[in-house]
Amino acid sequence: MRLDDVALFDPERWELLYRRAFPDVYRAVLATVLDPEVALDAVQDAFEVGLRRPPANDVNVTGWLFRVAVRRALRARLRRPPRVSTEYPDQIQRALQRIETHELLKLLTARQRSIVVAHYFLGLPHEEIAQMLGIRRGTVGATIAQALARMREVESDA
Amino acid sequence: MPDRRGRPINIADDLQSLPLPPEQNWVRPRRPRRSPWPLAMAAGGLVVVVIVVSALNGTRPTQQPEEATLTAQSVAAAPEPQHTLPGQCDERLQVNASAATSVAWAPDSSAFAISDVVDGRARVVVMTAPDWRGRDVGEGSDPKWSASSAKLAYLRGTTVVIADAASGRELGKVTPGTPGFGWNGDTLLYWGGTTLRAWRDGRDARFAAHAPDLTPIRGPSEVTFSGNGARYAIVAREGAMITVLYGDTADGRVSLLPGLPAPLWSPAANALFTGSDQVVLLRAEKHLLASESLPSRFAIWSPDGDQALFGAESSGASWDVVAWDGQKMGASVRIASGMRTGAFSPDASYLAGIYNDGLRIYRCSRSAPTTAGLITRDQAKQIIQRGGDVIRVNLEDSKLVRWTDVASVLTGSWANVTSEAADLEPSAPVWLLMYAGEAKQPQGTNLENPPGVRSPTVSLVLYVLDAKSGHLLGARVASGTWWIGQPFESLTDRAPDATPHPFEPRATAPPFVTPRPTPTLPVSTAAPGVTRVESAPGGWRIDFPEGWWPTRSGFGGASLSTRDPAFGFGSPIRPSGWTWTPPSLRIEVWANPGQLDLNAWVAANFADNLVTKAIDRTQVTIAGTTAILLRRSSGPQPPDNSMLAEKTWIVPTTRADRVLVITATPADSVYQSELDASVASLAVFSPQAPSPTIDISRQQVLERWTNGPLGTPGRVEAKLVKWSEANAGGTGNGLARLDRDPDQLVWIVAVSVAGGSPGFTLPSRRGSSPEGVRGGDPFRWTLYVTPASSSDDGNGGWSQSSGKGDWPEFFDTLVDRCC
Repeated sequence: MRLDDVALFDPERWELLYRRAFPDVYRAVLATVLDPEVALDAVQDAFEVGLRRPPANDVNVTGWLFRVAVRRALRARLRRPPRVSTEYPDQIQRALQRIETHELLKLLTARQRSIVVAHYFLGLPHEEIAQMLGIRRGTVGATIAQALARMREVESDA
Repeated sequence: MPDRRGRPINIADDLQSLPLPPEQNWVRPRRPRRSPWPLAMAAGGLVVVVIVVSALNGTRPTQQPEEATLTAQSVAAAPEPQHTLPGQCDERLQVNASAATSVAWAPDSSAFAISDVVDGRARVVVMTAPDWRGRDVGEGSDPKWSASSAKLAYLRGTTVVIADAASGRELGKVTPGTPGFGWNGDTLLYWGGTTLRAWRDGRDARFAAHAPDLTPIRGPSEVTFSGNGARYAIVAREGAMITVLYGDTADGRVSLLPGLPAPLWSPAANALFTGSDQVVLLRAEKHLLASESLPSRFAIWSPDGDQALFGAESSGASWDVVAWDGQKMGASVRIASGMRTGAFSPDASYLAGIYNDGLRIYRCSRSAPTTAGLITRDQAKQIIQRGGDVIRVNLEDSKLVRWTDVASVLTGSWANVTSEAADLEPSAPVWLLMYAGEAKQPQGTNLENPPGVRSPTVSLVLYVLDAKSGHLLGARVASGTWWIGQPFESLTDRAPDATPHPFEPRATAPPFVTPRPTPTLPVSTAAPGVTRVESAPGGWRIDFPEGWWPTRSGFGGASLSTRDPAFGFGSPIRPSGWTWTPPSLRIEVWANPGQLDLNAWVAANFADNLVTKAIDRTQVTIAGTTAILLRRSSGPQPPDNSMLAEKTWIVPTTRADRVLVITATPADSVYQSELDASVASLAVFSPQAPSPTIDISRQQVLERWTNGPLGTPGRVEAKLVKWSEANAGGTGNGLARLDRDPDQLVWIVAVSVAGGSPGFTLPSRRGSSPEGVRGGDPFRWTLYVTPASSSDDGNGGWSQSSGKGDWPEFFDTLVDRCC
């Protein structure tokens, strides 16, 4: 999905694109920060950033939202607003803990998780991840290789 | 993602199975747009256009929606805590809570709450007087009482449960944005994501007036509150690095406390920081006090939370812990050894503590059994008074100590010791009585004043009495107004009626009493999260982050800092790291009397000197005009000889005879972008003209001398002149910031003693050595500036005195603009 699909950018269309991307972005951010509340807050933040300062027309909206949200989530843990009293964060937390890869993801650093999730879940190419995180393309490949090695090491021991 | 050696690690499928939040929560409820905080980006080159970007991401707190606020309230039902310490707490009462982990007393002392573990689950249990039987309140931990003792809040998971203390019925719940909660009266405070929020009687609203500046925060954080909820701290940890921000809950703004660990809060609003090499007490009055000589372990707060009690490790059954208020060591309390954490009841009747075997509660008493058979404090004082040696008493104090504590200081020519002292055991109790004022010099001491002449009286004397017999054992004399340090100040008073030492900030210069208006600094909200300060006389305005403090500085100037200016130091031992310079922006108006062009003016006034050197100089466009940016290095700075990076912008104003000088210090901190952004928001405009009203007459000015108590001078005259004219003869060293409008009309007054009434002299300042005054010669004339308008705040006045000649020649060169 690309922003050039739309003729003119406006808040309503931005919200439409955001809602389409939300499931993937939220799950990817959740897998990176492993905290449902922080993940939701960060994705909501990313939406608001886009409202004020929309991304360029040729950008991958999902990748853009993921990048902004992950940065927010890792940087602003203190600024989390008070939680609305609902049960869903606990449900999601329990579901997160049940999935097979949860324990493996926990072995990685947040940065490694963000790269692994961006590549294997969101399907972003190395080049785009490198641009997204401001690192070299080779670093993306090396980080993924290190992360996989770590996960396999533990998986094979189990 | 295939795993070549085994089954695949299937991230994609796993994550697709995760449930999503309800769709209505995908977008946060609309709130105001974030601040259009300008972010200046300046790069090299001769002319750099400052780019203002209308959003600051991430580093600015999100502004809360406009809403009603809850404010601090007084709670009439909150009883006053006991200000006197108990003597000992040694009567153990029966309670049963072997897995308790924390204790919190109700302010009315009728009960305390504990965190206990029952069947593997954390429970909050209330133990109520008189039998201290436990009553389960609910699942949770870390209970805290409201000031009225009517409500109890505790943590259940990440949620704070507010319950009725009597029935345990849940009254409400809040989930803070980050861990931590506290009570301010009967209002529950918690962190709301960007500022403090409050819950009171089911209503949830913003509490603090300002959103704090969170720029220094790195890593996961928690928010903690003082016992009375008046102060709070944000503590962030990233690896071994701890960042502590401290502030008032009502105000909301926070100051960085560099080099200090997480605070231990008292039941009141004091905070203790127990580092490896020194202990720091930050009192509610915002005085920072440090000590390197306290006993090794913090044990407990006094019942009123005003003193911290410390003790050395003890292997015996009991442990003497000594009170410290930041300045003095006071009374001691004997408690059972082995307490990990605990608290006195606010009425000082009980001590509840967590020991290795769980919860224990002790009844406390005021009288110490060790004083049986000893003379009382009053009896000791009467013995001294009957001796008749004390003539006048300005201050007195007394302590019951051991002979070994004072024997070592009763030596030398300023002390004497009686023969009776030779037989004393080191642990023998003695009364130490100190008098400041005037006393006859005791026999055997030899304080000389002037040198070679034994003084008949002394201003300080310390008597030592045998606490059993009342016999005088010795004395020590000194000059001064108060006994500093050893032997008196640091000794522990072991008497049961040990005098509480109410904390008094160390004396500073008396406040300047003036009928003139207090200068104000107009501030307003420019945008959410952004404050604007404007100086009409300075002719500028600038925006800065809401969480900073603006203070007035000189004529038309201001200082914008990230540290609360109310912080003061009360100890010669400064907390390590406190020489650190808080990030600040200083805006000053400087004179350019020769109306030099900017480059020439900078060359004349900002040349390198011994401690400050320019390392870069560029031209920038700021406030729509070409300015000069100097990057300077200043130092070496204590304590580590580091160099301080400064950025100084020199900006032309609408007047050719004035220049704005803006200095960012330090220029390389985490606040760099905020400081740059603030400077980028600068706007200059025509400054306000000084008040033309002259309502202080020449006669009123001269009456100070003609009707004064000092007699009549031989000649006294006053002229009305512009400040710039008066200042030409002032004592200034070169050009500096303006302390006053150059066009402001002022009176300049010259006074001469020559031909004056008998006995008339000019006041002199101690320690000054002006030209012409040698060996204490009196001043012959004085020249000074004083306001001509009652709306003049009086800043920037100066005076000049001399013993050379009878009249200031400069005065005669001035043209009188008056009348």
